[in-house]
Parts: sequence; C-alpha cells; structure tokens
Amino acid sequence: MEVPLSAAGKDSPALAHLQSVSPDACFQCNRCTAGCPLLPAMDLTPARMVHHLLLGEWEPVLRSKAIWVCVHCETCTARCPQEVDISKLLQAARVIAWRGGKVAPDQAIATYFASFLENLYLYGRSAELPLTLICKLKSENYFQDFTLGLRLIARGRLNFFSLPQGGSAYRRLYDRVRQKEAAGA
Amino acid sequence: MKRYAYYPGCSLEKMAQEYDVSFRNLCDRLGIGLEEMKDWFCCGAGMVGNISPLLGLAVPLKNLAIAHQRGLAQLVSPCAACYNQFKRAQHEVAADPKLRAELEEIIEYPLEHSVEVLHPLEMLERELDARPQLAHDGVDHLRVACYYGCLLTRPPKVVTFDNCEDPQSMDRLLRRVGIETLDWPQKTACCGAFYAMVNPSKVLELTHAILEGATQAGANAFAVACPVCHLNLDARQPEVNQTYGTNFNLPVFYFSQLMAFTQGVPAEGLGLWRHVVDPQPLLLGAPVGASAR
Repeated sequence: MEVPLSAAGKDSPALAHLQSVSPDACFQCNRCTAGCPLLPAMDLTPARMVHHLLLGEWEPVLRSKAIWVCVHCETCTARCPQEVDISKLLQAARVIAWRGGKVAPDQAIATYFASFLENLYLYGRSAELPLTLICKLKSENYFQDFTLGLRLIARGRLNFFSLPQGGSAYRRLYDRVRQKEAAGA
Repeated sequence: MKRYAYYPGCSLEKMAQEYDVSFRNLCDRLGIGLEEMKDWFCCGAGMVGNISPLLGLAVPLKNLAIAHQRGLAQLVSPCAACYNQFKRAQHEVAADPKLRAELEEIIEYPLEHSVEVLHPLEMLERELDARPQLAHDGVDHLRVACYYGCLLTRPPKVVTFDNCEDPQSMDRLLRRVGIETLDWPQKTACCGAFYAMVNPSKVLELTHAILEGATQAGANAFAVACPVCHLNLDARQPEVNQTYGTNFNLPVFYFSQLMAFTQGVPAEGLGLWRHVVDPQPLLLGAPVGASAR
C-alpha cells in the first residue's frame, strides 16, 4: 500500500505502525458500514474509505468529513470478518490530514482535539474550565449545550474552581515526543 | 492484603465523582485494597493519538510504568476510555519491537514487565469468585438494563473483555447481589460519545434508541460502567424527552453504586444527588428487604 508521508516527512515508528494496517483483505461486504452508528453524518462510508485506501487513494479520505465524524467506537473493527482494523486506518488518516493541513473545513472535533492537548500541556489532567474556555474560544460557538452545563453545575459535576496539579510529568513526556518527532522529520 | 494500583482518571476525579466514591466504598466494604497512584496523569483519552500517535501510546504506558515502579502488578481502571487506552497501548507494543524500543526510550522505563490492566468488572468477578454469599437486600424491585457501551468491549482482540456482542459480566455481578438484569438488544450500541461536542442532535437520536430499547425490555433503571455513557444517558435525558416528546424517567446508575448499596454502604456514600435523573425515589423509596413486584 502506498502511503503519503505528507508534511511530516520521514516519520516515527508509531505512524508507520498506524499505517501498517493493510486494507488489502477487504472484499466490500459492508459490515463496517452497516454497523456504524454515525453513518448518516458521514460523507464517505467506512467501506468506501477502505476501498479508496486499497487503491492507494488517500486524498479523498484525508479531505473527508467522515474521518472527523468517527468517534472510534470500534464497531467496524470488531465486526470485520477479514480483520481489517478500520478504526486504526481512520486514526492514521486523521493524523496525516492534521499534519498535512488537510483537515476539511469546519471540523469542530479537530479543534476539540487540539484544545484537549493544550489543556493537558498546562495541567496534565483534563480540567473543565480551561478546556471549555480554549475550545469555546477556538470554535466561537459559545452557547451550545449551555443548559446542559447549567444542569451539571447545579449538581456539583462541573467544578470550575479546582485545577489539577502535576502537569510536569506529562510535559516532560510531550517534549520528549516532540524531540523524537522533529528528529525523524 | 493484595493491593491494586488504582487509576481513577480525569472523569472520575471530576465529572463522575459518584462512580469513584461508590467504587472506593464498595471495595472498602469488600476488603479489597486500592492504592491510588497520586502522580498519575491523563491517559490521552483517545484524543491525543489523533494528533500524535507516539504521544497517544506514551501517556498510558508511562502511567503503567508509575504503577510498576510502586511494585504493583495489577492496575484497576474504572473509566472505559482509560481502560481501552491502556489495553490498546500494551497491544501495540507487544506486536512491534521497534515501536516498543522507541517508547521505552521516551518513557524512560523498560517495558519487559507487564502490569495487568483490569476493569473493576473483571477485578470484582475474580475477587468475588471465592466468596460464597453476598448480601442482597432492598433491590427486589429493580429491573436493570446493563449498558456496556463501546470502549470496554471493543475491539475484542485488543481489550479481551468478555463477549463483545453480548457481554455478561456486569449482569452476573448484579445478579449475585440480588438485582434482576434484562436481556435487551442495545447493550453495546454506541451512545455517540464525544460527538455530542459537535452535533448534540445526532447523539440525542442514538441515546433515544438506547432509552427506547431498555424501556421496551421492561427496565426501570440502567447500570453503566463508563462516565461518557452516563453523561449521555443521564444528563441528556431531559433533552431527549424534549426533542422526541417522550417522558423517560430512567435512573442511570454506575454498577458500583448498585453493588455498594446492596453491601450496606449508606446512601450518602453513593453520590446519588449528583445525577440529573433523580435515582433516589427508585432506589431508596422501597422498604428494605421487601419485594415491590
């Protein structure tokens, strides 16, 4: 399978490992597609994405919205009779699209992933206040789930006043990975 | 006493404290030793790996190394997403020596050891196996739909948890404490998870189907083992009712709350007030020991 290494250049074994999943065994039975809970929101079905990759066509997959709709519930991977790890293929596509600047427009979930990483760099654990703020600022979508938020605050479920400690161990790891990835490029 | 490394994870530390507190109280009651690793950090939650696959594997493995450094051979992870991250990372490095070597260098710890990662359902089944009888009072009126969700059960080759299409471990545990559980079709259906961040209406549709399935099977409550499943089924239930004109009023318990209740943990130790759908009338309303059916 021909895989574009995109802007990331020569990559770490982790990405090579992700890309090592071969779609070659797929015979288009469409079980992955039939079981996908988010299929109606996708612009490409899982089986079509696998078929594109089988033909070496990464571009339509990288530019699709479907890879950002997937919540990796793993139903496709669990049910594939040919043991194609579809979920992992889509993860590889997300990484390559992200690094190559090919994320389809208006994919709020990509913004959420980035916010999640920034928050971790600061605190090492997920913290509602900074995560919510970073994400809302990035997405400029301030009122979605507003009443849900109020309901959770009333029950003590969202605590904006305690911030986790101990981001340093995570930061060390993050910096070491960045070094590695830069050296591989 | 044997001790397990305890990795609560970010959700149990904050949003899902009721899962954390009820599980700790249950273990306390059963004499099971948990040792929280104070210096744990986020497992990556499946988010990190979408931007850096290497970091996505390094974070769970470093957390396991922290447990190993403490001399703990088994780690209990109640959040289904954390559990999945640990199992996934272990699975990937076992299959690829080159990747393993790179990760050993990054986390500054050898990976020849293996910390066994257990979900509380697995750990409790093992621990309770040898025990003859457990208390089971005051729950005769419950008819519970056990909802396992995605990340606990899939992919089967990675997590090796139960049966991925028809898991039974939560049902077995709840039945052992006298709670009736039901056969129903959506046990491992996806609730939409974090897609709610982008498109809440799609998640309401999936959640509605799960609520409908459990109701049709005759359930008067859910038992879950994942904070995200809980959030979507419980906290979004008012929106489901609003959107679909339904009047579901199904309390969503963590299995640990139900088990702890039967083992005599007082209601204050279960965090019930934190639920959106108030579970107290159903759980505490019935006279102890009496059958309401």
